[in-house]
This record gives sequence, C-alpha cells and structure tokens, in this order.
Amino acid sequence: MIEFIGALVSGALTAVPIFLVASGLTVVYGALGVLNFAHGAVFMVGAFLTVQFLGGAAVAWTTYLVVVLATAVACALLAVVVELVAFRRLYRKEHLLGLLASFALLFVLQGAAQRIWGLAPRTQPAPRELSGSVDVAGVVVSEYALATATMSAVVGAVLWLLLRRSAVGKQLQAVADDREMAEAVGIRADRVGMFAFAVSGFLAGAAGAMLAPQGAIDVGLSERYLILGFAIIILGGVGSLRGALFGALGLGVLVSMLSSYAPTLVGFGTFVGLAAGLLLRRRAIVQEAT
Amino acid sequence: MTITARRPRTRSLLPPPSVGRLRSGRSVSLRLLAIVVATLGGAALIAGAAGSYSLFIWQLVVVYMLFAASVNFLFGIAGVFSFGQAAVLGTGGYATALVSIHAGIEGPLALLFGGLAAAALSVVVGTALNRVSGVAFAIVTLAASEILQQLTFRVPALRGEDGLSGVAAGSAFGIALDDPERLWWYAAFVLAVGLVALYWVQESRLGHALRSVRDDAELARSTGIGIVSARLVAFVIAGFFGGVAGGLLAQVQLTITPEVFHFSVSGLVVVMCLVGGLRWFVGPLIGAAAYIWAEQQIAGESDNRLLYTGLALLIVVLVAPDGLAGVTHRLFRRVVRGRERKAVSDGD
Repeated sequence: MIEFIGALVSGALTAVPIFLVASGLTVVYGALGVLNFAHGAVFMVGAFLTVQFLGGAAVAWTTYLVVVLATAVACALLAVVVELVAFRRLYRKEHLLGLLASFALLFVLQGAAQRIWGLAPRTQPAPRELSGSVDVAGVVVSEYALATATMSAVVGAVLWLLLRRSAVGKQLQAVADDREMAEAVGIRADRVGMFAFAVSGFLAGAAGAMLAPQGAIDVGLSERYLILGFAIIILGGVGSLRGALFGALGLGVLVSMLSSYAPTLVGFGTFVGLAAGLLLRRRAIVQEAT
Repeated sequence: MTITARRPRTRSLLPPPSVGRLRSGRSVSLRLLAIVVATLGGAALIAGAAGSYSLFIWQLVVVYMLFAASVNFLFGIAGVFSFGQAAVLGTGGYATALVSIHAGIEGPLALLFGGLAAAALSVVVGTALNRVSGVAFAIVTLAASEILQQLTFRVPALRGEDGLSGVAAGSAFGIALDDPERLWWYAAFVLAVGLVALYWVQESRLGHALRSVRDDAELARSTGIGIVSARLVAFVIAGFFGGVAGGLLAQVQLTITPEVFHFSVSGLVVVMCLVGGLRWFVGPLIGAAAYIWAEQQIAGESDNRLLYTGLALLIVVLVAPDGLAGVTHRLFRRVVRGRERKAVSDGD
C-alpha cells in the first residue's frame, strides 16, 4: 500500500514539470493551429543551456533558480526566432509547409546542439541543498522533485492568469477562435502569434532547465519530450490547459506505476500513455490539424 | 456572376487532383513500360561506368529511391503524413535479415518477408488513423519508430547495437548474387518492379480515390469512399514497399543495425521527396540520388546528418517547395513559352 501511495505521489510530482512542456505545445497549437515539432528541441536546448551555464556543478538553489529563469528567457527568444524564420512566412501558405518547416527546425536544432555540445550525454546535479529526500507520512520523496513541482505549479498558475486575465491572453483566444475576425477588429495576429511562441519557448526552456538533473542530457531528449508532450495532449484533450494538466497527471502516475509494478516496461511509459490515450478517446482527436 | 470552386489547399505541391477520369489502360501500360526501360537502361549505364565501390553507393541510392517512392506515394497521393517511416524500413530490414539468418530464405522471397512484416506493422500503427489524422498521426508514427528502436536493444534476438550481421543476398531465380554487378542488377530489378507497382496503384481507381480523400475528405466521404480505410490502405501499401526497400538495404549491406530506425532516417526520406518534388513521380528518385550524392560530398566534413538534413529541408521548404523537379519544370516551361511567344511574334 505504501508503495502504491509512493508511486502515486512521485508520479504526481513529476507530472507538474512535464505539464509545462505539454502546455507549451498546447498554447501554440490552440492559437495558431500549428503542432510545433521544434518544441521538443527547444526543451532540449533548455537542458543543455543549463549545463552550459552551471558547468555541471552542484550550486546553491538560488543560483539554480536564476539559471532556470535565464534559460527560460533564452528559449523564449529561440522560439521567437523559430517563429520568424519558419512560421511567419508560412501562415498564409499551404499548411503542409508549416508542418515540414517545424519538422526541419527540429532537425536543425538537434544538429546544432550536436555540433555545439557533442554526442556524449551530459549530466547536471540538483542544487546542493535539495539533493536529499524527505519523508512525508511514510512516503519518501526527493526534495528536488518537490521543489520543481512547486516551481512548475507557480509557473503554471502565472500562465493560467496570463492567458485568462491579461489583454494579450484575450487576444490570443480571439485569434485562436477566428483569426480573420480578430484581425478585422484590430488585433495584430502576427504579434499574438509571436507571443504564443515566446510563451511556449519560455515554458519549454523552464521545464528543460528544471528537469536537467533528472537524467542524462543528450540530443535524443528532443524527440522524447516531443512525444511525451504529445502523449499528454492526447490523453488530456487537445487545446486546453486543463487537458494538459490532467494528461500530465495521468501520464506521470502511469510512468511511475510502471516503474514500480512493471519494470520491464520502463522506458515505454510514454508510449503506453499514448496508446491508452488513443484507445480511450472515442472520436477523432485532432481533426486535419497541420 | 461566376462561382469559382474552392481550390484545394495542397494544389501546387502535391500531384494533381483526381479529375474523375482515369488514364486509359494503354496510356498507363506505356508509362509502366517507360519506367521499366528507364530504370534498366539507367542501371546498364551505371553498371558500365561505375567501379565496385561506387556500385555499392548506387545500390544504396536504389534502396532509398524505392523507399522515397513509397513515402512519396503516401504523402503525395494519399496526403497521409508519417514522420516515422524509418519504422517500416527497419522492420523490413530486420525481417529480411532474420529469415535469411535463421531460415536460409534469401533473394526476392526474403524481400517479400520484409515487405509483409512492414505491412503488418503498418496495419497495427495505422489503426491509430481511426482516432487521429494529419500531423497527429505523423507523431504517432514517430512514436512507433522510437518504440521499435528501443525494442532492438531490449529483444536479445535482435542483438542490440551490433545488429544482425551475416545476411546473405543468396540467389534470385537461380542466379547467385555473389558479385557486385549481379547484386546491382538485382537491386535495379527490384526497384523497377517496385516503381511499376507504385505507379500502377497511383493511376488505378484506388489511387484516384486516395487523391480525392486527400483533397477533400468530406466530399470523398459523400461519394462513398471510406476515409479511414482509404488512408489505412495507402499507409499499408507504402509500408510494404518501404519494408522491401529495408530488406534490400539489409541484403546489399549484408547487415542491419538499429540506426535504421533512427528518427533522422524518417527525416531524410522526407527531405528526399521534397528536394525532388512531391508532385512528380520522378521527384523522390531525383531527390534520393541528389541526397546520397550530396552526403558523399560532405562525408569527410562531418557526420552531423541531423544538421544537414534539417537545413536542406528548411531551405527547400522556404525557397522552392516544389523541389528540383518543380524548378526544372518551371524553367522548362519558361523556355518553351518564350520560344512560342517569339514564334508568334515572328509570324505576325
């Protein structure tokens, strides 16, 4: 029983940061109808940048926090560049081109990362003060997982407020609803699109920085987290933050249960989640989306 | 007042829509004959000119030509996007290697096993078409190829990183494929058969049904075409030929390794199709040859296939989305038009 609760808790804790990855995908998809393949690569760049900034050393948690923010901002800029280079010119052209361009950018970013940081996996230890674990009512939880979950929850709450309450969030919703109509009432849809990419890059970068200590950092992170984000969206429902949250919780718990009860399937958790999402959904999920 | 029909989105990039008229049987037969003659004629030229090392490179070109042609059928004719076609190439390769090593099945029969294994895989992955389409399905296929790559490390019989070695091409119709030139002719014949089959399907009733699903799924449904089953059939056909290409890859390399499942392989085949031009049947063939040639040129520079593949794709998408074939076509048309205009003005 205690093992079950332990798996449940650690699953829920890992769910919060990966929720950020999925919601980055969701924000861009919701606003622009583009499933951005390069999103996973932005996450990977975030993880690599964190190692770059810290040199793989264990630092104080305040330093780490600053690095997370710096990485997130850098990744937001990267996402804006991605938008300008590839998507800006393609919104009004054939949808297929946008899809292929984002696929190409996934490769370019991976290739650039391989050139800069090499093929050998890097590692980044957790902040010094947070390398232990705490015992909460008999369940042992890593301090770092607790900290990242809290931090991600804060980011998630800010994101929710930004999208729901701010003017630019409202504009984003308007563009998502009907781009032409939004433009007709004076919303600059191009800028809103850039904002959506910046937000998604920020989220991916923050998640990449926070999850860097969780395992080996290599080029393959990009497609793993792309598929992960996608599996979450499929599980939770497309285009809403709430869907991304529930999907992340479902997937996090699933992965953690698998590692406790079905160790042979470790490494396949994302795929099991994706398959489950596809089976559970009754109807077509993403219609003709490109 | 005239009412103009809404043009399909994908008009300029993909092969022309079904216009409700099939090419006549004779016209298709002639074109099929032309494909065979061109393939084998090309093979004879290359066999005459190339040494045994470059013959091996050319064998790889043939493998990727068949692979790219299958993907072009999937993308261009059916409008189904898969970013995980490495899965079928690898499955075909591993299946061919396994039957060759363990059951002594070689030659074209082993390729058939490769194709069937890949088709079976495509049936399984393709069931996702019931739930998703478009880019979402592309990600599902990507996930499938990742699963398979992981399986090669988990299943002991697949020997992990070392892959399967000791594959033999064996013999085809009583002719032992033991020297590079015979192997070359064998590969060329496989390519010719594959291209003929793909072209025949593309011009058949099924091919036209697929185009109509691609251009307007709702309209196609209303004419009684099952959208999901049409897409599934296209995915399985493309999977079969991708699997045959994978089998051929195992036979010419004499080995197959997990890298064949790598994500970059799925990417490079998309690049081949785009570089050549999705709209034309010869597009992927040109693209495959151009890609392998370019890779040979920069092979000494770097092994960073991801970066070059990505840049090539990005440039093609942004600059010339209709590919080499499209650019050539436009240039040709401009020249011909110019000459016609000149002829007209001279006549006045």
